[in-house]
Amino acid sequence: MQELILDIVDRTSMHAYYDKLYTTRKKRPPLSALIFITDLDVEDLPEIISQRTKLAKSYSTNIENLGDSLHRVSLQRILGLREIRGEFIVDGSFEGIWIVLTNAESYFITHVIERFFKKLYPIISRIYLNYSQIKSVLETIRKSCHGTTTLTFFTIKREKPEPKEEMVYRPRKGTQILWDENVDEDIKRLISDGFVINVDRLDFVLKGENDTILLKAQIARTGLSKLKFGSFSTFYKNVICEIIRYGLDRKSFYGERERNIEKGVIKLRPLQITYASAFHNEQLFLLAKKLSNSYSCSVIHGGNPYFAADLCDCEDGSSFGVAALGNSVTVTPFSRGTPSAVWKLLNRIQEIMGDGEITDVRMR
Amino acid sequence: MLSLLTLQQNCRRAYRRYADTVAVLSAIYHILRQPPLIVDFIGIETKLKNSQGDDVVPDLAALYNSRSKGLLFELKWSLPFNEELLEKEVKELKKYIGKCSQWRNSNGVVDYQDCILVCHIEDAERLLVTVKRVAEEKGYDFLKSEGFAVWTWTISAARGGERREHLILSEVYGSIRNSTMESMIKRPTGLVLPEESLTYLRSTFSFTREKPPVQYTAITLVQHILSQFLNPERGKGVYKITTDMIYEKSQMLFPSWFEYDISTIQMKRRWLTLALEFLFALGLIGKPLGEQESWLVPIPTLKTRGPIEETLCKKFSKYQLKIKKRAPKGRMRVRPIRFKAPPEIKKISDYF
Repeated sequence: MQELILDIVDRTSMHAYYDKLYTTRKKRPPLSALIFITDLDVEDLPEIISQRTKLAKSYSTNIENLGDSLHRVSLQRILGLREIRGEFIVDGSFEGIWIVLTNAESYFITHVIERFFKKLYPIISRIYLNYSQIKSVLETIRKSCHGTTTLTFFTIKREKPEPKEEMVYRPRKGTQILWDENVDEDIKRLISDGFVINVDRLDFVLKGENDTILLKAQIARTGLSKLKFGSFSTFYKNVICEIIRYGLDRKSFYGERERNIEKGVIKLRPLQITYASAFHNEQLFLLAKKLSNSYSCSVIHGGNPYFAADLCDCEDGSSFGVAALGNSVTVTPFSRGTPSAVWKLLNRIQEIMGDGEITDVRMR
Repeated sequence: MLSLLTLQQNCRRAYRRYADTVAVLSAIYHILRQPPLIVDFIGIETKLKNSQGDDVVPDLAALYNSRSKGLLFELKWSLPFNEELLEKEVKELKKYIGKCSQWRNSNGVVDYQDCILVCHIEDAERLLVTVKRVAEEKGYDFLKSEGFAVWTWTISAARGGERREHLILSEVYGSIRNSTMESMIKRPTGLVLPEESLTYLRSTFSFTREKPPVQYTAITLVQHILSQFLNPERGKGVYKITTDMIYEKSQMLFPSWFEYDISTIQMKRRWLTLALEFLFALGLIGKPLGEQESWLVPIPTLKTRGPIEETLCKKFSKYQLKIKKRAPKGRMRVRPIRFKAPPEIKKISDYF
């Protein structure tokens, strides 16, 4: 059961409450912080829900304004014959960002909170981080507190597309947990064995200047961060705020990429995901198949081994040209390409093809 | 009668071929604008006047040598299998011969202009046979003179990761008088276009001057235009959209849309109307009663588990077969035309 957050009446009491909760040694669910990008006001949520018939059937909310951009939200979901209810705090102190804080069980987070916000896309969208971006955030965290970060374990999603008879591919899936501090070598080994690698989440210990443990926390590729032990204030300042800063920077990087005309010349602002090695036919076969499941996709070349397709994000209305050639995937937004949709698509491609390096393509 | 499978394959092939031809147009446009500059001016769908005083609009028109000489590119995404029709297509190239005027230079004319016909390598053999035959006819000797060339494009196949795929242009007939371009295309490998022509440059244009297959326009509408009418706050649903609204949003997909005259606008609008009627015939969109230029469009319009061109081509092929089955068997008989009054359109509420 979720510990009641009724003690939280303002920002000070929130810090005091979570500080007390996570600096005492006791087995309890970690404090989860989900970061969402939105221009909405928290108090508009009930109206938004009522406009969507399907959502209104399953979800209901009760919002209490605590002042200073803080809201306590009680969310209820009807799942079959069950009713799942829980509470969370929404912090809207950053412009265009909501921080959802909860110490509820992971079941409530995965099946209620995350599903609920997923249904509100594109009004509310998530931030996504790949392996190199998570490492970059960790580096900033380490620098900001003049301490050290020790990685304790990684959770990696691996998948090996294997050719079967009659061109039917059955991927070998699995989650691998690596306890080593330096996992780069293991990742390289798995890639050379033909696996598609996604770093799903990583745990770290943040130590201060005198080697004292400040935090035991986790960052996931969906922008979800968890505090397992340590001061909430340190976690908020050094982890949540750094992720938000990085997220806002990425948001502007993915923004304004629509195809437009400048002085009679068509301007494109594509993005590229580059990988260490060239793609196999099986990988491109999976790319076409999986993209077709999540997007409206028209395939021009199916991947032999050149892949080219036009995609449309049905929920957002953004459309893209996607091409995979050699060791890179190029994403070119069309007439409409919101930052959230670009971000979501890049994450989806990396989930299928593995984590790569995202770069801006300069048109010559 | 063609089988359902053959119809589907033809439908998909036409869609892909047109999409690739647009990519070729973008690639040629891109390569001509790269330094060191081969040409001084490049215009897409630039309107010129030929020696007979008729308007001609090639896909690409370029000026070089201090804007004193011209180059015209005509792209064909598909050439007919019927010999007569193919001959007609070749003979139509005559409109580009003779000095054209209204070029973008000081006096509007050039010393001479060359014409390049660009087609897919699969069409090259048939085309060359016809070109050679027509060239012998009186009045078509321009086909064998310098200044007319046929280029083909193909995407090189890669095997086992040995090398990357490339878009390659080759000269298969005639020659042009621009020595730089001629030396580039005459290389043993042909003109290997830069890698970006297969990646992001594909998205530069969506149409060539030539009429696209209806399934291509329909897919482009579904993917890039109709989806833009989605209101994030309202979410998925049926939207009432007029043809004007669709045309307004589609304009940017046509090359050089801001320079169009009325006849071109009407032509492009017809393509869109045809595609909308096609979607209506397949039952993917609706029409409100009594409103000619309005459509009831569900957004997302077509959500499938697989690629949408497969679903659309399957539906289209089934529709084609259904139409053919409905047609009377045997020899067509001439029937007297009886004029009937148009059926009165009733609202559903009139029946209750």
